[in-house]
Amino acid sequence: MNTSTLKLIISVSLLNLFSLPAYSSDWPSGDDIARNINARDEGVAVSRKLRMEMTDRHGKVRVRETKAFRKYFGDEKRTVIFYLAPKNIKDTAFLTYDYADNSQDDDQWLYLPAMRKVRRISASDRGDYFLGTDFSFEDIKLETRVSLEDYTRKTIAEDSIDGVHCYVVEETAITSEIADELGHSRRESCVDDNLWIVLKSKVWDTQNKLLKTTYFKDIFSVQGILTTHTMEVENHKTGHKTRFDFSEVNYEDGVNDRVFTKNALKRGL
Amino acid sequence: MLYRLFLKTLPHVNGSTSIVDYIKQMNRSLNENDPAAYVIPNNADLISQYFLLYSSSGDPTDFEEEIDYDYQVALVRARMDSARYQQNKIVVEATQKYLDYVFNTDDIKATLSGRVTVDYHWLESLLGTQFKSVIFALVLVWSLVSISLRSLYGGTLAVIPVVLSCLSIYAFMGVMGITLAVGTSMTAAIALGIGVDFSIHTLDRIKLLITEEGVEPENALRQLYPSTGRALLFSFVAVFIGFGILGLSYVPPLSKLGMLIAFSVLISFVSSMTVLPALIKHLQPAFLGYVKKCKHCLALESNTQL
Repeated sequence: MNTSTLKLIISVSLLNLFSLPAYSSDWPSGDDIARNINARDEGVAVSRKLRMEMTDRHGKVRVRETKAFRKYFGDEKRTVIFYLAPKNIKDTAFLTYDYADNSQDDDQWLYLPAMRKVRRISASDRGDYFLGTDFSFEDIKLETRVSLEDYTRKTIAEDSIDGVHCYVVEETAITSEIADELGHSRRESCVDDNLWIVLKSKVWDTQNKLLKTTYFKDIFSVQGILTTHTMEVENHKTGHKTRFDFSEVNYEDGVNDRVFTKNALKRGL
Repeated sequence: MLYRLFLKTLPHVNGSTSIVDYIKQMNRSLNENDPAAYVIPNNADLISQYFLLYSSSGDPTDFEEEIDYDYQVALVRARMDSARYQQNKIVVEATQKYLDYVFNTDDIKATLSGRVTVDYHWLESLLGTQFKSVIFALVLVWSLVSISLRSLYGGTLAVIPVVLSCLSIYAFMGVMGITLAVGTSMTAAIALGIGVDFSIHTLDRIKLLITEEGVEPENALRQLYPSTGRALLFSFVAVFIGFGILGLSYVPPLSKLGMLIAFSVLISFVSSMTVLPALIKHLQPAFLGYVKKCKHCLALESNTQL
């Protein structure tokens, strides 16, 4: 091997060393990204139709049509879901009060029309499955926001999804107790740095096995508020999938506070 | 649920589980835990709503083992405390009859499945044909030997040692606690084929000695042992050791097969050398060249002596 070839090899490898850094100081920090996400306006109150489509690993599908309302009362978030279809669960309704303080259990009620009774449901763990879907209660509570206190986070890569540039933020549960509570220990999210919205997120369970992948799609502004219209999640352990489609999203008309009461559950829409 | 009451009546069935148990339990839990509420509610919508209530925090795949996702196919699991074929047979056959004649209609269908059912079916075909295949092999051997000796009597004599060896195989299995399985079920048929050699050789040699070499029938047996008897002994030892080696195998089906065949060869050799000659001496069959004996002839003989 002559010296000129050797020089070439050395200079090329040195060049590589500088041009492909593991981390870039230009990237926004994980905490900055999280703050930007949570600073996005979500509207105080929203009413919308929510179609839940659950598919088991054999490809069999359950579809549920619902009408959902959500409203912030300060830090407290109240959500109510009225089932419209299928017929056998029509008029069933689910009400939840999420308190900002994670140590305080959420309050939940379910109205079963066949019993004509509103039942208080024991508080769920944050990692529990939400109404037969693959989303956890925590996912539903956060929607498109992120939890600031459960994780440490850092920006680990740049990526793009469907041509949209995003930063990959790795979130690691602060303690193993929190990981157990959430049902996962690590999350990698792809965050659109233009709109500050999560496009895709993967979580690993406490044994560090890939547990779920979630996609956030059909993102566009409704009445000036950026809205994710489709959420798809696949559980890699069970092969079960869930797709949420939001439609008739309305932030402007407001939602009457009385909708979030046990009486309203019973009365229905 | 009638089918579960029926299952309970069967021996060695300790209980059954199905989605129904969960529905009943949910109904009970939602009715202040009243034991009287441990029933299926009389309202299909309510059941759907129970499942929704359950799913308010349960894993969506929780009931995957009991019922399919669109609630069309359900699994009823009966637990048995015995894995013995004799007991499985009663339960599987009774349940199948129940399904065919009572349960199955145009609207609802059930099929039996699970390990007990699968075991029952393949053992059933194995055991059901066991007796038939041995009889079939015996009839074939008997007719072939009859043709070659040109005597039904001869064929019958020839199969006596192998019948003895077949019977002793089953006796041996009983004493040693060897069960019928894929490997051991073949032994009787194999032993039959190997063992019949000895008696054919024995019969053929006696026939040859008397009819072609002109040996006096009384002396024929005496000449049988040093010649054919000796050859058969070597042949027996070779086959016995050959299969006996298998008996040392660490693979249980192989070792059982080897031991059983070696044992059966021993029996057919010994009986070809003892039972068969003794029978020949006693019966003096004409097809081997013995002088026909009849009461009339005996009477004639005694007359001439007088």
